[in-house]
Amino acid sequence: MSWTFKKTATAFAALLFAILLTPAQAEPYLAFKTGNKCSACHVNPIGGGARNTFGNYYGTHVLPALPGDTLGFDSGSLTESVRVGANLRANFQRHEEDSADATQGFETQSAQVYLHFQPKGSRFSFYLDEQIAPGAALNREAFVMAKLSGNHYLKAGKIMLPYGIRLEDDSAFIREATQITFDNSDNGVELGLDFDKALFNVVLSNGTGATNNDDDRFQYVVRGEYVERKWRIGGSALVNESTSGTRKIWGVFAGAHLYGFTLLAEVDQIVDESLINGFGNETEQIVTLFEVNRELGKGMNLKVTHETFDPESNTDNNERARSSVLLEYTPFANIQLRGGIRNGDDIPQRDQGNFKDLFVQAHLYF
Amino acid sequence: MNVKPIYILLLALVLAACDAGSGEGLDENGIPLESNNEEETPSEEAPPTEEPPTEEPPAEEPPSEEPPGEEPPAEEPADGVTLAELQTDIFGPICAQCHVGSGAPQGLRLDSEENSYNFLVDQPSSEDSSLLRVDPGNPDNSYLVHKVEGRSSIIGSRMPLGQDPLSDADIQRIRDWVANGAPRTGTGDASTTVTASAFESGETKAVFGMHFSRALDPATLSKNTVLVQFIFEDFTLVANTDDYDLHLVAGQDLILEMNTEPYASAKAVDIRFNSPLTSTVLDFRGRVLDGDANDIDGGEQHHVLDL
Repeated sequence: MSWTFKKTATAFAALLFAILLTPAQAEPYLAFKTGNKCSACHVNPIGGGARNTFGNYYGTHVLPALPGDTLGFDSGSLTESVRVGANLRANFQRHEEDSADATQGFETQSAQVYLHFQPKGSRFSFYLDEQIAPGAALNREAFVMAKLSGNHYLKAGKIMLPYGIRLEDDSAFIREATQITFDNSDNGVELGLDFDKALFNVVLSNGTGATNNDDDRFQYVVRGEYVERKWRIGGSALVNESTSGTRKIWGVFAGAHLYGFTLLAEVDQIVDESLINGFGNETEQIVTLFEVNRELGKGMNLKVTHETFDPESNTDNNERARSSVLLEYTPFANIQLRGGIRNGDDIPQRDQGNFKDLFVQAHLYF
Repeated sequence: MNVKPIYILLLALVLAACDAGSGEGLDENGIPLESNNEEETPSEEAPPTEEPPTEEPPAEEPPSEEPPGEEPPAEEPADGVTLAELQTDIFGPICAQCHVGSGAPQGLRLDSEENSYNFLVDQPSSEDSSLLRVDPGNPDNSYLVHKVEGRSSIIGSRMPLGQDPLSDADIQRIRDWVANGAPRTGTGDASTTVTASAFESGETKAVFGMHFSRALDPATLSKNTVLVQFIFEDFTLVANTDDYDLHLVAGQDLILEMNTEPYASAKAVDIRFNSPLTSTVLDFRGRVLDGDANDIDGGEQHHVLDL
């Protein structure tokens, strides 16, 4: 058996293993693993979306098992002023609940295109992140960014709020419960203070999850992150004022790369005055994420994730949990295959939370 | 592997042990049972709405006599969907995982029956301002329906985000509620509408399905309420009543099963239902079905289907 065939067979077997077992989706582990800030690879300083020159090099030469073209890796850079990018995720998914028949089928989970325009020599740039499928186009981010002194910056427009670890998976508890998702970006301004080992973000936005501000109240977000080569720690806080009650979220996150394992963790508390619990008090929720990544071989990453969600801290026996096992295989530049299982564990009487999802995903990135 | 990675894995296992709650003392949405009788908290942020309509008059008990072809239901069929049921089964446990509290996406709160009504009914969609989230009586013009059906015209992703799509049955329940006028309580005062739900044609049999937005009064349903005609090249032939059967399923779905063998060379079948020329059908409230979708009780449901 040749080395190449053995390697391919091993990869296939590992993928099959993951499929037969349990998923999650997240890219931040790469930053945690390499000791970089998100801005090392992405045009957007808080991560996600279009990749910069280094990000494209990493995605085509470091991440895959077989590197791509040495000269063409940054072909998204059309001119010195214009850069484009794209992501497409297509899934086959099977969903099982105890109380219902299993469902399965193919879906285009999402397709995005990115545009970054920065006139040569200018400190101002324009960034656009547009979801083009499924459905009609959805603008996720559209902002003007001004570079201040050093790497500090100021953004204005429609922005994804900087909060916690920016997972790609909007259905993760820390995204879903905090409502900081790609589907829920907000209009406002963001100041980023980007130091050598630290990044601080301060945001003022409309809040209330609406497209316009119909009252005199706003949303305030602060986030800080300290980055060392092998570890990092950070914290975030959000206050969303609204006529129905103020919503406050705060949390800490941390990560480390130790002995070949890349660990990510986040815990957040949500206090929402607009939601009154059964005791007549404001609702308090706690949400956690713990993720372990292990590079099994060149181009192959095993990800194990465990999440918990306490939808009301003053109520006993109501906690929810999800666990995922996911294998990510990047055989070539610009294509990644993912497969895995997510297991939902909820109170017995809540059918929707007790499930098992199996999926295989083709992820094209450019 | 040396010892230290094992500690990391042990930590992972400890965290993995944080399982779900037992659910003891909670309802199906995780709310303590003793608090379920309390009033829902109103949202000051909710858009102003008119007073909810008065309660529905009690439904008349359907006669015990079964119409031809009626299949005995396993359990008492529901008369029609209510917002309370949608809140309990769909909006609360599924949609309100995200659409909750003051930070709800698109400013759309679905975390209580009152909020669902106030933020949906007659409210413009923030994604497509040309549509209302719920246009009472018009499910096909309601953006909520478009989003859960995943139509190609929607902005952004199909709902629920990151979860399996709603089942066809649940989407139909939302459509029924909207078709019935999206009432705040009960099943509303609007006319009961009918839509074609299925048609299959084989060598000797054809099956046509209709769905009603509320339960029918089965006593008013008979073979005379449907007129089946087979269309041939040069003539039309009224079908013998022995050649078709009606099956009412769960009060809201009617299956018309036709034996097409005697009409083998027919090109199409003409189906007229609820026609004043034959016999009309009443819903469980005793009102005539709105067959022609003009929001007025009465009217014929008419289909010509190729065989």
